[in-house]
Amino acid sequence: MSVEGQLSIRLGVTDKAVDRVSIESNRPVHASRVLNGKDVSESQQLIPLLFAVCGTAQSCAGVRACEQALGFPAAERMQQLRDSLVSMETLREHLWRILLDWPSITDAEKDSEGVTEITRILYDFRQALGLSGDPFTVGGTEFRADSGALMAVRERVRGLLRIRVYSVVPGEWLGIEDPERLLAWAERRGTVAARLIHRLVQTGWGAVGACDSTPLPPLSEQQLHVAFRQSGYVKYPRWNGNCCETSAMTRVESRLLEELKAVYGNGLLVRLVARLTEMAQLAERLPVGPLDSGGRALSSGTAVNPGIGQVAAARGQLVHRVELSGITVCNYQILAPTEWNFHPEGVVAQALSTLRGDPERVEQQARLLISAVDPCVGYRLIFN
Amino acid sequence: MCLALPARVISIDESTDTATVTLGGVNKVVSLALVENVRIDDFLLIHVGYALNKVSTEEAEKTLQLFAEAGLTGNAEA
Repeated sequence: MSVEGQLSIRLGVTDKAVDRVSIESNRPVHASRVLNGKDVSESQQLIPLLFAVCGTAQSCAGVRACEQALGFPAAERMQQLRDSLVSMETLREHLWRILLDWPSITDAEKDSEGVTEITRILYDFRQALGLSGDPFTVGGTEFRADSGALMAVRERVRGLLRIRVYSVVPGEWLGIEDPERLLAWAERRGTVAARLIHRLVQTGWGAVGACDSTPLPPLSEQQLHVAFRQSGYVKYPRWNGNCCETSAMTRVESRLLEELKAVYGNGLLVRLVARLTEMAQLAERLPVGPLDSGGRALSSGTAVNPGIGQVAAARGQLVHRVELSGITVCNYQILAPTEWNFHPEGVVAQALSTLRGDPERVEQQARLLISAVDPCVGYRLIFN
Repeated sequence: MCLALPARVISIDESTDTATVTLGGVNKVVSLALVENVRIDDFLLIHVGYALNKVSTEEAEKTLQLFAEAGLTGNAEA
């Protein structure tokens, strides 16, 4: 049952220092080829079934690529609605990691109740949008959002995050703008997030894994077409020769993060705080208005075939590229953020190569770093 | 690619919130923390030890067929 593939991450340690890092992936990066020969409608139905991890982001990137290739971009309000669904999925993915992975680091129990609650809220969010069909089909669907229900969903999200993560409402937590106040928050509060931040600082592990990484810049569609035509791009992507990073840390900004980076670089502490910051920002930006509800509407546009669809997914930038012949897919390509971040010479490989200490400590820090960047696939950590 | 595989539930352990699922004769225990109201014979999308979603039998069969066509699985049980 390893159809999704796996990462094999090998570390060589000499004299208490990592001196060799190798990352091998047997992820089936060309699995999107199963969509070749299907028509657009069928491919859109299959995408969330096949690529169920971040299925909403995958569906969104897919429909954007198809709409561009067909020359039928969805109306602005439908784009906003799709973005809100992707944002909610990203928020849920961040919360899953915090409630399921972070407790084990601080010897606490996984927070299954919190996980169940966000799953229910996600369902209610879709209900509140009043969708009459699948928004991730060409042109989208009719919808009639219920402002009152959206407001209630946002309040539930803020309440859940206050209790399980921040101890205060997300907006108040975002008001923490300097490292001293963050450390005071971490020391006083008893949530899993506060305890982990406190432990990192206490153990002096805040800067662990800090390295020089190149953030993936925004790429134009023209640049992406050129890149996708290069052999091996979807397995070993590079931009201008660099193995770039794409993650919450490379896209989220705040004064707190700026100040933390000056002290801890892009080490563990900054990575965890970036996740907390993005989740709080997403919670505060959840739509409560009517989202300009109304009927299904297609804009008219010029077909650009192959089409490109880009989405900021939970783990980083996700890109779909689809080439159509009429309404039939003849070439479907997907580039997922894991291929950037877990590139053999990418940010995780660089971060792991900085680790120092006895084998037990190196293993703990390596697992923390891998979890902080978060591959969308299982991994094996092997010491040579 | 960020794939998840559909597998059929053959038993549930409520005390640990886990289920044993089967695919192609291979059994595996997965966490049910992310899904609700799971029953025997349901199909679940499995990813790194977690069940992500429930899918219909029809959707599961279609997905497994596609995986098999792509050479990613054998003739897996549906």
